[in-house]
Amino acid sequence: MAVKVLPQRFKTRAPNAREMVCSLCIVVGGSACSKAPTPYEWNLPNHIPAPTVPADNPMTVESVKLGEMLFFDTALSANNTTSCSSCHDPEKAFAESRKVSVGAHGEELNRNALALINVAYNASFTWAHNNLDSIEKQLLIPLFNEHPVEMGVTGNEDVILMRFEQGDYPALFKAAYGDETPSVNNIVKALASYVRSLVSFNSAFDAYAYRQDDSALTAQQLEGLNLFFSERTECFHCHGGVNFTQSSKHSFQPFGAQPFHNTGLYNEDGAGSYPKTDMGLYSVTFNKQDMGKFRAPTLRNIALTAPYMHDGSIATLEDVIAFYARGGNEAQSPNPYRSPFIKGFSISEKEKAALVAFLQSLTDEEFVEKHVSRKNK
Amino acid sequence: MKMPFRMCVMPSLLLAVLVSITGCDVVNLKGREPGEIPFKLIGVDTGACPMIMSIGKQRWNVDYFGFYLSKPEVRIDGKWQRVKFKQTQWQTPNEALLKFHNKCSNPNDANSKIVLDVSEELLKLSTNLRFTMGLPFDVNHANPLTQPSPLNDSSMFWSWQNGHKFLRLDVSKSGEEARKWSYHLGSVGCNSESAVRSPEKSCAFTNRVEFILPMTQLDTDLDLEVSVSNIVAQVDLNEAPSCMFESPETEPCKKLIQNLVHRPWIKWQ
Ligand code: HEC
Ligand code: HEC
Repeated sequence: MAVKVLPQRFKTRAPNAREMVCSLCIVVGGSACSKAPTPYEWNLPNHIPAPTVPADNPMTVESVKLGEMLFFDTALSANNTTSCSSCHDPEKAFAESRKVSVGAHGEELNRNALALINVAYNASFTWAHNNLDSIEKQLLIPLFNEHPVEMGVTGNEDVILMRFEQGDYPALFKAAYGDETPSVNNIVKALASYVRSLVSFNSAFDAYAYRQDDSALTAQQLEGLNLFFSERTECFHCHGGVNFTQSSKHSFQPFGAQPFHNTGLYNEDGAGSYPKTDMGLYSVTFNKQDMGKFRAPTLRNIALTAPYMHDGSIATLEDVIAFYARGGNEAQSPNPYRSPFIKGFSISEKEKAALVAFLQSLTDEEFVEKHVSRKNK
Repeated sequence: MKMPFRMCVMPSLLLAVLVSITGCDVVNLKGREPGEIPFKLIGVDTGACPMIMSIGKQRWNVDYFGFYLSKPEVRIDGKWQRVKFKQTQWQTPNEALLKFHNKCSNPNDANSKIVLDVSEELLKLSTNLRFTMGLPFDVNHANPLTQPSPLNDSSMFWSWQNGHKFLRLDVSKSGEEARKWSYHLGSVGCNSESAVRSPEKSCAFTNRVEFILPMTQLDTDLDLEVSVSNIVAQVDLNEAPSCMFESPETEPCKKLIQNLVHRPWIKWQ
């Protein structure tokens, strides 16, 4: 009856020891090792502080370059079909036009792919999570998730790593981490560095607001701006700060601002419930107060990232505004969880168009062009 | 609402040991190394390919079954004493991964024993063995990619919970393999001070289970039995949704946790 099976040695990866030795020689002069990686320059506007970066994954030119290669490479998925960019398309500010993402095995995820913009400044990751402490940790989800499979790395590490022992990769790994042998940990580090490098602060709005260029916005966009920052629409309460999200570490928010809100997108039972398949922050904390709470995402480049909301359930910006104007969905039914800032407002068609025009002024063409051209390289 | 799922399952296990001491010999007949305790699945045909679990008339393939144990301790003269697991690919000094596999998949990718780093003499002095199903808080939430084996086994990663699964059971219905059912258990609802720090406080649902097993001088010869059917008792795998902890307070998760705590699913043979 009993299973008598012999334990096998796991293939443990020990690149860290080598890594350590190598960074040591770099410190003492680098004679035997490759040249030390080059510190990354952010090139941020003056009013934007550099984001905090984990001490064990410093930003270097080499790690960002390696991360960029990996980001666009389907070799990172077990069946070689899916890259990060399959769901995060640079033409869409690293979001996608599907309602919800589809993983490497064709299974649908619950959620719409988030745009990857200024993620380095995020105080939280994904649409609703209060307990992922870094981009590095967040990336384990698309890589290792099995329900549904996103990239399918679980159990296929050896096959996948072997693919990176060829071509330009050994040199890129060596330059970034002093070791040409790829490891999952270094892959994650490089991807996180690349994601951190995706900063976008060069929209028409930025020219107007931070570079004092009065001609950067049209009269219609200015009308929309004033509506956005008005007590009537309340948009700025949740999408505030330089990143248009409270969930940002350098956005000069009032202390203790809560970055998660229930917008009333669902009210399944007249008591505020969200669909069982996705109850937002509640599904992570199991605290009833968190029912249907999601992070207010950045609105930068928002014109490019349709459809909208965590499940892609709203198709256009006009529809998003109409949604807020009617006070959320099922607004007549009681909903103890809906944010007090979602109370509905009246808005004319002209004003709606102005608000959309303002949201369009948040597009950073330079950012998009830069990354699209790199993708096509 | 917040329940600490920690209980010991001692009383029923005591009984199990009492009925099984006959016929044993002090000499270790099975040629085990000191401190080795084999685990044996019961109610599962482990010779079949894939392994088959029978529940009433239904037959289910066990596609994956594994769990972590940690914090081994023995009681000697009424005092608990920390002991270590022998360090192997399946064990760090404080954590062990049990992973059961069927004949046809790579049989080497499995471990069905723990090995305590203790002498036979020490074990003989022990009156109890205690361990926890699950991982300690800090180990659970550390970067799994840089941890030693078996903590780096990605099939036990639970990335959306920023931790590890403590127990994983995946089954599919025999003859109707597209019909799958999964039970993934680990700590959930772990609040951190801030989202950009590791969780420092404990979790709303720690979901660790402590086992206290009696030991007698004769136990150095016994196996521990693991009953999968006790884990899923009173859950209709045909009807019930999987439990991967999207909501711990709904069925079948609630029932499954009760089983884990109240039904003796690990006991002496
Ligand atoms: C199958 C589609 C898919 C793939 C492949 C994918 N992602 Fe995502 N990504 C998503 C979805 C959907 C979300 C939102 C997840 C959520 O809220 O639970 C997301 C969220 C993120 C976030 C969080 C952003 C934020 O603002 O919090 C980052 C960072 C990210 N992905 C990077 C990556 C990287 C790097 C890769 C490649 C390793 C990758 N993704 C692969 C679909 C995908
Ligand atoms: C109570 C806080 C709150 C207020 C007020 C608010 N939002 Fe939002 N917003 C959110 C949250 C939370 C989400 C994500 C909701 C979801 O996905 O279920 C969101 C999502 C959005 C999205 C979609 C983002 C994407 O990437 O899909 C847009 C666009 C948007 N809001 C615009 C606005 C505008 C315009 C206003 C003012 C009319 C406004 N919001 C007011 C919290 C708020």
